Amino acid sequence: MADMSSPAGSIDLTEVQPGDTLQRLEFLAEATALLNASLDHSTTLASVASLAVPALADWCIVYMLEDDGAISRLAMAHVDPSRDALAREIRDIPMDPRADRGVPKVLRTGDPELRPDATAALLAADVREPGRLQPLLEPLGITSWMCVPMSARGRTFGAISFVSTDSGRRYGAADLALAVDLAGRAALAVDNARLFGEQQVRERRQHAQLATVRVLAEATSLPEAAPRILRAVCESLDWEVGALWIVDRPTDRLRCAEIWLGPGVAADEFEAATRTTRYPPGLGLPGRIWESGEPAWIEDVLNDSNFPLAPAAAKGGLRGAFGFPLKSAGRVIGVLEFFSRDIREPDPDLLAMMASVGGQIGQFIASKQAEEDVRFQKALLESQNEATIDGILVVSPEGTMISFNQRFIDMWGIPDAVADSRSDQAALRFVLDKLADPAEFRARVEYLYEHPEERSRDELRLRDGRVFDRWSAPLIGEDGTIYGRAWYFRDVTELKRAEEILLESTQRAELLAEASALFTASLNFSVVMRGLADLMSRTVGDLCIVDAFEDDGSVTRVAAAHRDPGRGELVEELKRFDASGTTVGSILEAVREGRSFLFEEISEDTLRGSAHNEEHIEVLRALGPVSAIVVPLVARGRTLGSILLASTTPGRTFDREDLSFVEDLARRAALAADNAQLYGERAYVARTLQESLLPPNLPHIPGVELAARFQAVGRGIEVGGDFYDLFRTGTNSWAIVIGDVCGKGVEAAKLTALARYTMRGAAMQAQKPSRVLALLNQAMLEQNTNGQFCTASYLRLRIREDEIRATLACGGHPMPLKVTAEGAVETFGRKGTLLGVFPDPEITDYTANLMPGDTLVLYTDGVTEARGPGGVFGEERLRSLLSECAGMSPAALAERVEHEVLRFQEDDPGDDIALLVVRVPR
Amino acid sequence: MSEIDVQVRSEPWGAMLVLSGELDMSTAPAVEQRLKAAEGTGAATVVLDLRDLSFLDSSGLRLITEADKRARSAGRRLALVRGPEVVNRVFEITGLDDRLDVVDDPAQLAG
Repeated sequence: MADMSSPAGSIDLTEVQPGDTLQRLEFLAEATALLNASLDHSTTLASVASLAVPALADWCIVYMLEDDGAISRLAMAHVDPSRDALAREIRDIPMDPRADRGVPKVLRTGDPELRPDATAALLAADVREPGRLQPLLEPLGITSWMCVPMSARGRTFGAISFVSTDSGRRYGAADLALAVDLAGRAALAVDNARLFGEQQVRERRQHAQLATVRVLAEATSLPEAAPRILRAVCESLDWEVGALWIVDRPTDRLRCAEIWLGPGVAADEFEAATRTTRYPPGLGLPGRIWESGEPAWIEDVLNDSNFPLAPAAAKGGLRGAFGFPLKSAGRVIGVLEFFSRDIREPDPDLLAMMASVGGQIGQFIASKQAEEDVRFQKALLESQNEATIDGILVVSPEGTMISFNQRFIDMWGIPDAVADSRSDQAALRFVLDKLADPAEFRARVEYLYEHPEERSRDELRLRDGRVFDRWSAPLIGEDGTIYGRAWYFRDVTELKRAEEILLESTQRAELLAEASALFTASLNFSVVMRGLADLMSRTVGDLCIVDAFEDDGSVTRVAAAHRDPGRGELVEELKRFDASGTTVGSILEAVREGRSFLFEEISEDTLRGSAHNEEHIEVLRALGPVSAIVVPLVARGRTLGSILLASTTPGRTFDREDLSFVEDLARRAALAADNAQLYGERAYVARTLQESLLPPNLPHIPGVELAARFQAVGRGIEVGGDFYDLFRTGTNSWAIVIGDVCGKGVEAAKLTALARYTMRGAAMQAQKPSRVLALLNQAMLEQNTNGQFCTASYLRLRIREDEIRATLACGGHPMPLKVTAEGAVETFGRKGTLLGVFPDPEITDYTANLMPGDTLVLYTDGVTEARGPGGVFGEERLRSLLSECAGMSPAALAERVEHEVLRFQEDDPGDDIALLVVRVPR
Repeated sequence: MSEIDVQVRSEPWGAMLVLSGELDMSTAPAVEQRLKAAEGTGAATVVLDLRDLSFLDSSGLRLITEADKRARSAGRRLALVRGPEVVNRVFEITGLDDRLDVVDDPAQLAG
């Protein structure tokens, strides 16, 4: 700080008077207050100039030394405001920084200059064009001049000129001292403002850094930390949008893990594009940072040649951008990028600081990923333990529970009090309550207590439907002493269920084959329906009634059958009652509209609602339905009639699975009936067989597009053996099957049904495609299919949010082809042995992720082995055709291939053509 | 209708059936009859020469896999002389080329 008490001086230029000191102090105090009022240095200096006039000068000019050495006139003030125009003119004449006099000299030396007798010529000597300036200065009537440097912290960065004109003052030493004091204060204020500004930037950066570090310390996961980090950096450093990109190792792409938009930023399209874009190394801002491992700055994304999202950014009004890598162990594992609405010049300091922040975030991500791995491993281990360890109980010969594991307690739901009592009798009482057959269990336990040396293994059925495998053995010491007995319980409910499903599937396959044969046996609707009613009443339910809807709206009973022929009379009696006006009538109306009904349990009320009078009820009661299904017979959009299937066996109730099976049969029956009307006999048989063995609709698989094409050969009863199937095998898991059975006609149809239903059943038991095909192979060998074999490809799709994993097993079938978005065609899968011939077929699983734009084409040899005048169609021709079809929808692609194959054979196919196309949309 | 010609030759090591034409659903029964007759002679080795076949479908494959099963259970050798590309491809796709006894040249059979 300047010394406030010295030197003695006055605003008056000539005389020093006692009162002046006070006046001077007041002036300086006022100046100090004014100078400190603003942190913006141009405002500060303008106020210095206006302060000096008229107290210290008639004309005051503030000069600043620029970074490039030029001298600018930052502020000017004149006692007479009418001189402003002149001031502007003077400002246009550049200073000469090299002049060794005047202002440049003061700036260079840091020493003040005082010219008590100054002239226009003197003041014009330090500019580039003195001849231009001097005439402008002459009219001012300059009498005296002094110039003082603005220096702070050892650096001179400006100067102030005080000029006396109209007042005629002559500056003296005291004036100079006051000017020096004022300039010193001004310099300090300006420098403080600069330092404060820098400090502010630094503090904001530190704040961003600290906020980031705090988030990293507090957050337990990346999804939790990411939005907070982006927000902290954006808010601290005035950026409007921030995005976090993570390197996805399996796909080798950067994907957006989080994007944060500041309030008022309307960049929805940019946000959506960012979230869905995947960058390879080098592409876009994130890609180039990933590739180089260095921060990057884009002044204006609209003028950047490597910024694919520029159109979306433009719509969101985003221009400036920068980003930096997130590193762990020297490897880039992610990228942070930020956007602003204005064009921004590169800021090396910011980038340098962010490089260190990037390291910290990188470490965080790496450690969270490692934690995640550990958690996963731990969970995996625990679940394995849980799954593999049986419930174990060891009982001493005296009947004390010596030890048991948690699994045992959980399986039986044994209360703490019982467990703590250690009494086997208490546990036994508890367990008996849960069993379907407690007496048998008790007898077994008592027998084993009497024969402590015996081993035992049996199956327990619980009242809640669970099935336990029970194994028991004595604990015998080396000397033959019996220490007790160990009991092992394993929950085999799922296994049992899978076995039952498989058994049921096989039965249904047989039923379906039988029904298919039935459909081909006659062209007469009534005959077919009587056969179907008979078949269904013997297999799925007990009572089956088929009604036909006539065109005039009336209903004709076509067939009625009961498993027990003795009840035939009752069924006949039912015919006497008209259904209209009852619950049954309204159900039939809905069925006419194509709806199906499942009555899991039929109550007395339901029966009453279905009857006209007491006599009617009596007939219904005598039949005793416990559960029923009503489905329409729909073919090509027309409802031909309805099938009512009822169970009269106590305990046998229908479920949704039964409903869908009956619906399936009804659909096939209706098609058969309709085909009979539409086609001649031979074609009818062929079509009916074919259609009865293909899935009626393709299911929807989320995340992929699907299409199937099937072209049956048109030669009378020579029905080919191509088939395909699609079904769900788990929450996110689907099976897509294509195959070809050998043989023709009914023989082929039976094998197709066996293959389809065995695979559906096996898929419940086994996850691996190779295992499913191995089970089919085994089933075919066991069924002794008379030398028939089949070839099949089984594709499993696992659909996850971020990836689609395809696993393929191939049993002697042509391998699928994969077409990439770019049109590259490659074989998908590994060769395997055909099914139904060898007990040990070689079948392997091939797994790969499907990328957006990838298309898998599954086909039968009717495509590649197609023969025409040009020879054999062949795989090469198919490959080049597919390469041309890259980017097509599955439906268009399948149609194109089928068309080309037919054209090649001059529209006379010698074999079935089946095509299944799966595509991951881009 | 497809046609096939079957020439049966007696060789020091057994019987050789040379097939020319198309082996499919319509011709397989005739081939099967000749094949079973050759097997009935007690030949230690039966060879099907596929070099002159211009077509083979699943009925042909079934004939061969059945003959292979019979040969295994009777302790007889069944060998095939590799056919042209159009025929051989069927064996490759179905994985049968790894499972059956296939030779490129009948001269290899002597050993």
